[in-house]
Amino acid sequence: MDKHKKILTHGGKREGAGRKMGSGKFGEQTKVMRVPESKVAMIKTWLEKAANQQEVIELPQFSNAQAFRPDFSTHYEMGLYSHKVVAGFPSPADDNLEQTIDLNTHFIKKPETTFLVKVQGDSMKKAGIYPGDLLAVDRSAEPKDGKIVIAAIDGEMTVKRLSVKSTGTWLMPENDRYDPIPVREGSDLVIWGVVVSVLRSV
Amino acid sequence: MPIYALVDANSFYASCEIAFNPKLENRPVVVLSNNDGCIVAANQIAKDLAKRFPIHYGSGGYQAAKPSSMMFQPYFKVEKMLKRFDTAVFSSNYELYGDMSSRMHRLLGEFASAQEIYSIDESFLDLSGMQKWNLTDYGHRIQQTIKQGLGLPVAVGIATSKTLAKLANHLAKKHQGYQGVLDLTALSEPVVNHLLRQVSVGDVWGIGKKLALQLNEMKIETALDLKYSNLKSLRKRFSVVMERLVLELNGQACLSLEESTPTKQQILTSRSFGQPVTDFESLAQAVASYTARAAQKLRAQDGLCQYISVFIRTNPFQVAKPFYQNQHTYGLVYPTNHTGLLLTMAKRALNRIWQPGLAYHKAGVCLSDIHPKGAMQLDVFAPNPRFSANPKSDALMKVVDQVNQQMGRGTMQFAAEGLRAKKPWQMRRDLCSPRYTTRIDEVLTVW
Repeated sequence: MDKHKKILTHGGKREGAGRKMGSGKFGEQTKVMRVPESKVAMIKTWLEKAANQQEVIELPQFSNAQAFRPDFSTHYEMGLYSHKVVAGFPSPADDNLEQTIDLNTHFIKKPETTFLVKVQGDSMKKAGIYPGDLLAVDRSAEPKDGKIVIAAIDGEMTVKRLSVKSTGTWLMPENDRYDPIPVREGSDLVIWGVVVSVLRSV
Repeated sequence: MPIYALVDANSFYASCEIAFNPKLENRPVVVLSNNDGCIVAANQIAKDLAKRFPIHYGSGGYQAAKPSSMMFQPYFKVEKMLKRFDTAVFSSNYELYGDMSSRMHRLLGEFASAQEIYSIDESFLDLSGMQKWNLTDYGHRIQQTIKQGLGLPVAVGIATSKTLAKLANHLAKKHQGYQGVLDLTALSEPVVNHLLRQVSVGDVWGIGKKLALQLNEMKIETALDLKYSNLKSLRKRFSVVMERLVLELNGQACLSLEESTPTKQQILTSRSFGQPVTDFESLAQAVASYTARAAQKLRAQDGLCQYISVFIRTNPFQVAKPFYQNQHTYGLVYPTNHTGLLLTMAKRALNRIWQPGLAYHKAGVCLSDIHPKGAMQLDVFAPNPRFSANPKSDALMKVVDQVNQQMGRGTMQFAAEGLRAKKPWQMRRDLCSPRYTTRIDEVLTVW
């Protein structure tokens, strides 16, 4: 037996092992190289682009250019009208420009607990609530006698005026074609919220 | 002595649905995850049903799923049973839940000097200095305010540390007698210990499945065991975090409120598709729309990202077909938050990993290496950058974000995201309730 012809089973290079030459993303042999840390991202991006075989971009030439950091610490806004040359009479209304009306603050006092709902039907016509109107409903407000409320009767949502009298509690429509709804002990009724505004475009 | 309360909504998503639909009050209600896949919320009636008719669920569902419980299980496994009892089933209506969540947190904030919004339906409140009040009553007042103002049921746990407050909250929900409010500061040590004995160690805040198993090996099975375990040996085996946890269980506050949310280091937007996607165009649209969404989140936290990765995969559960998943990352020379640039990069990345002839099931976009947008090094080599530190493109993005915030998401978008028609890759949300609070044409109707 020729000892020198023995096939090595330990160590050394195995035929066909490892990645194939040129199978990497660059399609050629690669080489390890040290580069300045600050330029890594830039070089990586350049390589990516090269690997994608897009137009080969020039690596930037390093001249003695100085990078500078812009100063963002100050802030200056130029008023839109501050440089408008007004010919003629100055507007006496200028002093009061700041005052506008925010409807939300007037009609929706508690935005967290106020929800909008839409009205179907005309059961509240006499109260000035028409089909298609939007109502702002505050769920945190206390339902009292005389308030217009949203009530869930057996799960159906309805808008009616609440009437709490010694004789009993009623949900009153504001339209003669509809009957009051008595609220009896044990009837499945939940006051969902109190109507605080009616919103309608005319 | 600090005092904390943890307030959270009971089965928040389901409760939001019930709040706008009182008819559901006495029916089982469940809410499903994206693509109507798994059960992510269920009201008490549905939970009790599932207890009465136990199914062994086996594996599957979310990581949080337990084989013995309906929660986080795939819906199809429970569908038959739930249908039999007239269960109301909903897709996740995130717009509604998000709006209700912000309303709830704003209301809760009024009850304390400091607040930490911990999740979509949980807030820690700082009640320090209120010891002379009856805090149980105060808890009920909080509960009453949220119930009446929003129609949401909440539970309140009060204690001298955040970890105990979380436990108190857990117990308040578990035992009927507390009516959803438990103040541990009002109880004597032996009574508190008696309660801690009933809580398994895995239910303690910050103890996950893995840790629970390791603790069980050390014969630590309940919250009480953990409270009285040896600090030294625990610290050796675990970490300082565990040590802190034990101190917290002993009523020593180690964790304070975090009032500002830390900015994210990574923003990931990924979704499974409503139906499998085979053509490149649709996949590119989906990736583009996730990219735009992620970029918008990035701008919202005033950040810039240095890397964008795109990943795609086929359905891992389809055994008959080969499984393929791949991802590609591009780095940027200059960090950006500009949707236009990120879309270009995303599409390029998708081009590299897309394989024809496959049915894709999920795609995602991840923006990483995020840093705050501050003073930026100007590009010496590109004096007129298109996307970085360019006031014009920043202004454009600002306008897009503002329009979408005011007029609803998707009002203004890049053409790459596809046109408005129903896209096949979009989430299945067949059972979505109206967006009662955020869309004027979807508000509740009353007669």
